[in-house]
Amino acid sequence: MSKRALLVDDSPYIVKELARILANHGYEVAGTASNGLEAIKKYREDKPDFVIMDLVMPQMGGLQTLLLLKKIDPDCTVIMTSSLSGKDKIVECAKAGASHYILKPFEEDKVIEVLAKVVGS
Amino acid sequence: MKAEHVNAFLVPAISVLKKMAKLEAKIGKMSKVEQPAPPSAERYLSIIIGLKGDLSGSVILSASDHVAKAIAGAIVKAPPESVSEQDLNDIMAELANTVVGNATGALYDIGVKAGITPPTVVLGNSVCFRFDAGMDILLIPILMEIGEMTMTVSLTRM
Repeated sequence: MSKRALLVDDSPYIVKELARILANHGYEVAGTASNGLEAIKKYREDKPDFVIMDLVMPQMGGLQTLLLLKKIDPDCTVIMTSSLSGKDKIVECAKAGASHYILKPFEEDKVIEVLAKVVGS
Repeated sequence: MKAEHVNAFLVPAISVLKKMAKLEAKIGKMSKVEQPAPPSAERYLSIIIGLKGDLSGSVILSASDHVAKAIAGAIVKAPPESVSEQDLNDIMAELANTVVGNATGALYDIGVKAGITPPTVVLGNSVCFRFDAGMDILLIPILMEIGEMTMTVSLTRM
């Protein structure tokens, strides 16, 4: 059975791009959200196997959402994405419980490598 | 305006265009201005990314409608004329977000911790940006075969 993802990003282009990459490699998209508030709601409704989530979003950002998701489900698998390449951000996400961090712009091979490592194929 | 702060934005401007759109670009002659010159009457798309933290200010990426569509088309591998206005705004916003976000990594490496705001899209004819008197403003032309984009970096004078 395919692993199902919740995609969280305020950029519709990024959501489409991630959906395309996932579909090319046998993953399913369980749902999408454009901010943290929506992500929490969709996580409860769609029950994905993992989440791919942007760090900088309006209304509620990725870090705050990650902390909330970990309270709701300590075992949830969340992969953070961002264009922010500073080591401080990566460490901050890891401390908050992120399973991995993918830097934008995406390279399809890199995304799949991370998914295989974190989620399995 | 410190050269090392400006330099942090130059490399991502080129590398992100290459990675996202497979476009070769180079930096043109930069100019420090009091305020940007009044714009052309042509329709322009501008993306504003705010900077916060150790650096305060903004970065604005601007391109004519024609150049923006060519860039967006290259990113999604589609004819420029087929890119809808909504998709154009989304794709260019993501391009700007990625350039400035990547720049924060270079800033971090020189001890400057900066965060960014979500992008704001502005489009229209004769759009004029005005900055606070306490800002240093630098116009950075980004030159490509398909045309030119301008990166306007404004930082609070330190």
